[in-house]
Amino acid sequence: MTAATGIRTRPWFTGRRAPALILVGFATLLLGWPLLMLLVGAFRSAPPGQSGSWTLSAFPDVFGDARTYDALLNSILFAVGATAVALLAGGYFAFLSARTTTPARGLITPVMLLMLALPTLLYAISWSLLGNPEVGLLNKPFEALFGASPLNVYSWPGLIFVQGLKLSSFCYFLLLGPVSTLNSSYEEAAFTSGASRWKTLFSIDLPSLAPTLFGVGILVGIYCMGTFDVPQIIGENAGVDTLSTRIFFYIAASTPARYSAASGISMIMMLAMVVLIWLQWRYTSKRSFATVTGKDYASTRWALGRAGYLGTASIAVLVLVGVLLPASQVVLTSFQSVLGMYSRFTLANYTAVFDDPQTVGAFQLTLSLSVAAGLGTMVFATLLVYAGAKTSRRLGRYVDLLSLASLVLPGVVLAAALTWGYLAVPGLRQLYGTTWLCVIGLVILLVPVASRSAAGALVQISADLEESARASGASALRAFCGIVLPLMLRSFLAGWLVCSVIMAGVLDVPLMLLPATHSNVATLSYSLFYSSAVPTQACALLVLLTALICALGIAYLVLRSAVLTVTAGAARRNPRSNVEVRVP
Amino acid sequence: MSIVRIDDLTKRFGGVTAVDRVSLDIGDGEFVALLGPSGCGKTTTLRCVAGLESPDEGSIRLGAGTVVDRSRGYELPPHKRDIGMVFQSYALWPHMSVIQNVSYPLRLKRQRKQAAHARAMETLELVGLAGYASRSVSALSGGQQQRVALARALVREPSVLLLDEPLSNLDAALRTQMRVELKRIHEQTGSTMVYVTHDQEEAVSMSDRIAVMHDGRAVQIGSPREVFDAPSSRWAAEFLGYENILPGRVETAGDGTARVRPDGWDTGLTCARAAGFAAGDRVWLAVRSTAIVFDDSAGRPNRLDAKVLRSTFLGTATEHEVAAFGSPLVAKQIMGGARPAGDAVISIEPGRIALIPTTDGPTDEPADDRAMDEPAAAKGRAL
Repeated sequence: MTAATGIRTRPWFTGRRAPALILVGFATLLLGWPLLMLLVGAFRSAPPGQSGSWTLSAFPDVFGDARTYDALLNSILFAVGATAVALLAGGYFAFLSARTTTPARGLITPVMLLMLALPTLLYAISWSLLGNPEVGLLNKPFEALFGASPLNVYSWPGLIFVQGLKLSSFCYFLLLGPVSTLNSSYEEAAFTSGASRWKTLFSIDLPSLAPTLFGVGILVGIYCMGTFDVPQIIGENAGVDTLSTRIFFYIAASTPARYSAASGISMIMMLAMVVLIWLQWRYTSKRSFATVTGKDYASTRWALGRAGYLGTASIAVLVLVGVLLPASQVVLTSFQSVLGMYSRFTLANYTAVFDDPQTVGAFQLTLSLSVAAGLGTMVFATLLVYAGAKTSRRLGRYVDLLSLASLVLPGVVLAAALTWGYLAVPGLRQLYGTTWLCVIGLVILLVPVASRSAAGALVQISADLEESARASGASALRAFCGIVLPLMLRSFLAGWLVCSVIMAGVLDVPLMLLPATHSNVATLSYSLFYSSAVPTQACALLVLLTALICALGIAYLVLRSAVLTVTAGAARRNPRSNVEVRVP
Repeated sequence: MSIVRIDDLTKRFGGVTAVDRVSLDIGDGEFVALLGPSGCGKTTTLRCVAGLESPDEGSIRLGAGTVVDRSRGYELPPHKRDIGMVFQSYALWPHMSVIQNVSYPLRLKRQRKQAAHARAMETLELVGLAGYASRSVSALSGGQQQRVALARALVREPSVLLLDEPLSNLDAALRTQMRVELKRIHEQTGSTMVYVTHDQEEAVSMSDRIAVMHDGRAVQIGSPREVFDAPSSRWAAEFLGYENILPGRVETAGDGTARVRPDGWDTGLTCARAAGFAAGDRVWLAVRSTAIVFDDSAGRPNRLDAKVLRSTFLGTATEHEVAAFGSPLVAKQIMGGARPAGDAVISIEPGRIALIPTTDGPTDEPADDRAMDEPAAAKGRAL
């Protein structure tokens, strides 16, 4: 790591590019092979791993079925609706938080962080209870007053609202940066040209954010096309079938499992995603939005005066709807003896959960899956990005593309693809029916997230950083320990945390890839809620899962401060203020 | 009739007073520069006029109407003020073409598209960019972008045009060219302009009046000649490039001339511009380096024996550090001629000594005097 990025210095791998190439080749196989087999699978007559013949029989099955088109239409409606809600809410709160003087705006980021960290599964279950016409916390008061329940989450609006609400936190964090760096001199130029604030917002701010909004919208849209938790838990009761629930249906709810039909649906879904990506590519390649600016003026906040309290009111609604309501519903339900009875609370659900050896096993599995697989993903992604960045420019670009490719592989599709890919190969076949296939699935699922985090960490370790440390009189070792290590370790730890939190809460991959004898917390609470109909125990599990996620967060903070202490000694002589940190 | 009237304007940021009781009257069609070093409050003053900052005290009138009056708690938002503003960063909207940028203010006045277009084209012609109407603003050079920004500010014919260091992002050659251009546009349109700059040359070459600002206050307001020939304070003299500033005392005065003796000197100097000073007054003597000449012809006034300590060739001139009566002085020799060395005779033109009344200093002890020490002299030259 003594050499540097770019052209000026010799690449680190000079003369021994082999390891890098082997790694990139392995990654290509890891990500590409299941995808290839998934496509091939659409043309096979037998399930994965069994000898069959080439056939087109899946096509009339899939394409001749009206439900396929319903599901496609539903998926598109769902994706468009949820994305719109998420963008609107996320963008609105990002603006409120970054560009106004709204009282209590400091609450927005922590609340959004909580919303982002809570598993979608928990959101789906808590809202399906909240908006449940019979037992929901939201409907109970109305029922007592008017004898009727106005809210029904099992509906199109409910479906879109819950998914949109969850994803608004994601949009918020993606938009916060661009919104807070909005050039306020553009706004001031509009004011002094005679434009009111509203006019400025719509004719200046929004258009200059358009490319970002479009990009985030496409990303969220792609995610919505493939997401499983909310459509499965809320959509099924609403009578809404999406492509992802169809794939699940073909594989998990049909006997025998119809893998080639699942492949066919997967292809439709991925085609839709490719269309979305193409749209974005068309859009961004057509216009150039180079910002025209000389000196930056500090972004000024809009003083809202009394209108700011309207903003505060909306923040209160966010806190309520985004965190308080779902959390209290889950917590309350976990203490109920009978679902929907808001009296005579009991600890029975927790005792039942703790007495069940299966539950204890599920926690162990979730913990080891998320921590170990999270670490594995980060190590793999870091090595991959490093190999790409330090070997050659072309390889770097390829690795970039490769590491993002699995974005178009949502959990259900990935599970189907892995089944095809691993059952077809003798040797690898043995992995099927073990937790290892699930681990592989989770790693592939999170490579895009992990690689972005790793790329961010590597960018910080520019050659100048090390060189300036050396020029300030640090030995090579001290420069590495004082500059490179702490810089990279911190991003690495943060990436690890994000991967672990997602892995602890994700439902679709474990549900489809874990062997029947094993469950983790997510799949167990899903089956308690869904199949065995003990939603009270499911809620107790979800409360414990949240505690586990919090524990991961605390462990991260402890680890980070430990890293800082360990490296502080080396860094003391090279204070970071002497060093220019370059961010792209 | 004044078109802009600023009264006792005060603006604080936290505990820092950025603008401190500034008052300024600007007449119709006048070009006024707010000149000062960075952090002196000139941009904040301008932004208060535009409505982009809300002052803490004072009032501002634009044309016939008050736009802000703190004592009444009244404040008009910027978009309702009859102003045009040019920003240091140009602030051209990147998602609009040149013509869209320029016609935007007109469209906000609900002008029909055709009419707005025609008027915008006229303004683009005025700034010499008629051929660039449909270009994207990011495809223009810095100078062209500045012209578009100017056109956008001019297009709705505001009663006052506010310019916030509009040329500071341009290179030197372009800056000189734009200076001439701005002056021409000012003459052609007759618009009132308030121009914020830290560049003295810009201020002098373009404006009718200059307001010199320091630490949030307007320390001197006057024509460029008044300001440059008769700085009102020691700080202003230093800022305006007076290299030699000596403490002294008026010995005799009368008929607009005076005999002033710098502290520690055996002889006094004759000053031709000393109206209003009386014998016994403590003063600063401010002398530009170009007013000190090496000329020992007998008839010249203010002849002094001096020692040349060091000479630095500057390309178009030579700078000499000399000492007279123990005071270090800087003399700049523009033309060729004899190159003085060692002992020399210098003379200081009586008409080019600016006398500055002192309120704060100098004391009777020369040892306290900052003008004597080397860093202060160096700072003076840097300006």
